[in-house]
Amino acid sequence: MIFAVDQEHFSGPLGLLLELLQQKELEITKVSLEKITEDYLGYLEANDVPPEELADFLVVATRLIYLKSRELMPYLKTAEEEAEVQSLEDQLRLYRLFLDAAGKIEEQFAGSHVMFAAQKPRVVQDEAPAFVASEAVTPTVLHEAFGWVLKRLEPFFALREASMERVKSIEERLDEMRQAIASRASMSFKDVVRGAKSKPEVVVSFLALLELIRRQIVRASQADEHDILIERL
Amino acid sequence: MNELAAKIESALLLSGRPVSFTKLASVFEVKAVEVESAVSALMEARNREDSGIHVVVANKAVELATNPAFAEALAAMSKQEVQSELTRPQLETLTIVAYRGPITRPEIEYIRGVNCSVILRNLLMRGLIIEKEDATRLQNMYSLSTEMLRHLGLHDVSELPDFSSLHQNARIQQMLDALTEESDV
Repeated sequence: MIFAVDQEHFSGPLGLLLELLQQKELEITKVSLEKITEDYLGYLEANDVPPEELADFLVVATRLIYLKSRELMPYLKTAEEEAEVQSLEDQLRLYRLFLDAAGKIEEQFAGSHVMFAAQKPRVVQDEAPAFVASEAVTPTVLHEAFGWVLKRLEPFFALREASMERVKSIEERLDEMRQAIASRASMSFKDVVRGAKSKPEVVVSFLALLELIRRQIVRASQADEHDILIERL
Repeated sequence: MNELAAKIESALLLSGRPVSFTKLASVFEVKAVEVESAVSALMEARNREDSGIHVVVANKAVELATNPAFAEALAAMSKQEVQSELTRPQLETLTIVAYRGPITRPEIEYIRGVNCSVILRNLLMRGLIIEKEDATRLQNMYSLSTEMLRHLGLHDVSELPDFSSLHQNARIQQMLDALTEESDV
């Protein structure tokens, strides 16, 4: 018996966003995206997203959380960030265009309009062997060809590694925060992001914090206007 | 139908597989543009309801095929297995390649918002799309294969539903161009 493992079960993060919007009968707007952020994160929690796609799902998650965080801190908005919000909406609209088109292709694919091409004549058994290597084929040539094949596979594995690293960064952050909070009763979000080198890193920390709250490991409250107080539960 | 078109038709019958415009040009010692216009004439003459032979063009190569209207009757005779089902992500990726091909992997991934390397490899292995290296962009470009077009019963990608609105959409182009600029920086 053959087990068919379908690794391509998920339609991707954008597909999930559209589905969530549709469930709530919402249009593609900034406000709608904020409304479904919780559902999106909930989905990631409840389902096993294939590891090689997890990074892409998390990128969209950080973009959503980022959107929400900007509503809490409107004075932090910059023109560049406005463009970012615009682009998530645009990307969704673009994706939906092709999703609609895919429906039509599917009908066409299933329909019986196949145009057959000439069938190759089968080699008669008595004739010469089916495979004769040309003189140009030498062990060196084969060796080179195989090297070329391996080289072509490189980007594929590099990509997998890069994507795993991105996932790891959130998980590592989560562990770091958990350990930090375990060693003392409370800390502030500013402490957590003090060592952050880039904006994405701050976003990742914020995502990790939300995750800890969700798992009921910590409780967070507004310390003052500029900081969050994190307490162990 | 002019003489060159008739010659091309004979060559295609003999070959039994897609033949590139450049190959035809060298065989008949004519310019590639002459081949292109002769192929258009051949398509016009053959791609009709009352013709048993139809002509399919993809990626600057041309192939003879049966009339799509006879698919059901001929299926029993053909050893060519009708493709099994596509998964959702495969279908989406195939659609993007169909409407926007030749297209690079980063562009496809931008539209789908998710890494597509595995899916593209599967589609390539099934012969539904083809991969060609673009000399100027130094990137692999993907487009629909002749085989896939024949399976859909189309003579050319331009016969896809709403082809021009998706293929020449200014907004899409603008977004994909922005993506290229980003990666160039």
